[in-house]
Amino acid sequence: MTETLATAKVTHRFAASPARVYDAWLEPAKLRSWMSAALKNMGVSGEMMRVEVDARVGGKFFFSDMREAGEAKHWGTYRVLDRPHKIEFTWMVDARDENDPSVVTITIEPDGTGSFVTIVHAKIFASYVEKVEMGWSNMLGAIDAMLVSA
Amino acid sequence: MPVPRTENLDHTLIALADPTRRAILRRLARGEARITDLAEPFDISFNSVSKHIKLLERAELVTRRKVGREYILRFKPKPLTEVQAWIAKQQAFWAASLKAIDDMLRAEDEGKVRK
Repeated sequence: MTETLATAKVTHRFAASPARVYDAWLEPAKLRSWMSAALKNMGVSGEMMRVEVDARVGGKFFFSDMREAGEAKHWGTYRVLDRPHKIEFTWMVDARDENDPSVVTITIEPDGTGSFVTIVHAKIFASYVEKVEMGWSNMLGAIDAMLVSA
Repeated sequence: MPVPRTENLDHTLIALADPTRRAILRRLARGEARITDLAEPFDISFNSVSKHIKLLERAELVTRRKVGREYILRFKPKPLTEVQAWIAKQQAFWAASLKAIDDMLRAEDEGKVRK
């Protein structure tokens, strides 16, 4: 229940091979390119500042981009780097996340000549809601329904 | 993530992070109650219940009104929709990321074909 409450999940089918999708997550020039495009799609400037990647287990990454309110920072540590199958990293946006960071797992499966990718972002509010119980309000039920249907 | 935590969201999450406060909310989700009614089943002092209620009020999950000499408390679910919206934004960011990677890789392929 807790995992469901604090978890976001998305999937996507790619024409590109698993290895190419995998490398897009770890090569700084590629990261800079697609992250800028994704951010623009989200309605912010997409002007990337720092894109630093130490692509080994235990290595850290740091991404930042310019927003109206200033530099938005995202950082974390790689926990799994299994080319071209799986990437897992902690993901933090706030120093308070350090105690119990959220975790992003990217699973890349072969699909014909392309690939099928699943991203699970777990423990989004880990440090706050790890023990939140479900069922006491329709709103929490609605969150659950939204995540299941996504 | 693209959207930093707001102070309101922090207040909501802090309010939800405690088992006694969640129990108080569950009780209030069934209907209004007096502060004195809430102190009894939780086997804690009136002062302690008051502190929990203050945090719930700061998060705007609970409102109070005075009836005679008593305060009546009521559950307000609206802040929970903000938590839901925040999770939805995380999801939107990852979806936008996958789309952008797809676009980038397709553009690479088209570049190769032209050569």
